[in-house]
Amino acid sequence: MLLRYRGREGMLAWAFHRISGVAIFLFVVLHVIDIYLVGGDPRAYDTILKVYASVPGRIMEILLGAALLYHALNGLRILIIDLWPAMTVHHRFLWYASWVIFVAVGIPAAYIILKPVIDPALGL
Amino acid sequence: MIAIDPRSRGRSRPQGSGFEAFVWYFMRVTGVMLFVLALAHFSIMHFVFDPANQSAQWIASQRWNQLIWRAFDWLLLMTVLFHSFMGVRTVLSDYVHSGRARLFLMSTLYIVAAMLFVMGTSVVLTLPSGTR
Repeated sequence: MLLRYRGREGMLAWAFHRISGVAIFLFVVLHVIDIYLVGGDPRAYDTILKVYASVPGRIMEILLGAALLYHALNGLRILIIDLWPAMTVHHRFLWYASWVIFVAVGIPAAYIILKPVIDPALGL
Repeated sequence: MIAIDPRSRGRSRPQGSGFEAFVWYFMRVTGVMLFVLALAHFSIMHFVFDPANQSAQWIASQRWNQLIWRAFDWLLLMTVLFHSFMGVRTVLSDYVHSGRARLFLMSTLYIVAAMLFVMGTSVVLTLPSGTR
C-alpha cells in the first residue's frame, strides 16, 4: 500500500507523524499515571522504574525517543511550510533533511540509552 | 504549477476566529514549546540521569528539589496535555463518523485529560521535597 499509493514523501510524512503522535499520546497517559505514584505509592513507582531500567524497557525508550524526535522534526517542517508557504515546493527536501538530523541525533542517543547494557557486554 | 499533495503540509487553518482556529494556532504554539520542553525533559531523564539511578526518593530529594524544575515539568504537562489530546481529537474526528461513537470517545478523551490534569498537578504541587 505504501509503495502503490502515489502520495509519496508527503503521505509518508503525514502517516509517520500520526503514528508517532498516537504512540506518544499513549506514553503520556502511562507516564502521568506512573509519576502520580511517586506521591501516591512510591514503592509501586520504584517497581515500575525497574522496568524502565531493564533491557526491554530501554529498547522501548529508544522507540519512544525516536517517535518524539521524528514528531518534533516533522512538526518543525510543518511549521516552516505554514509560516512560509513558498517552502511547500521544497517539502521533500525538508523531509529528507529532517531524516538526516534524525539519524545524526538518534544514533548517539540510542547508544547513550543502551550504554549501561552495551559497555559491560563489551568489557568496557 | 507543481502539483502538491495537500498532506505534505499540516492541517489547513480553519477559517474565522472561533474555537477551531484557536486550536489550530495553539497546536503550533504548543508544538514549538514541546520541541524544547519535551526533548529537554527526555534528555535530562535519559542522558543526564540514567533510569537505573532514579527512584521515588530521588525525585523528591533531587529532581523536584527546586521550584524551577517543578514549574518546568508542570508547564510540560500543560502543553503536552493540550497538544496530545487535541491531536487525538483530530485523529478521532478523521476516523469516527458515527455520532454516538464519536460522542462516547470524545467524552472519554476529555475525562481522561481532566484526570491526568488533576493527577499530574496534584503530585507536582504536593510531593514533599527533601528526604522522606
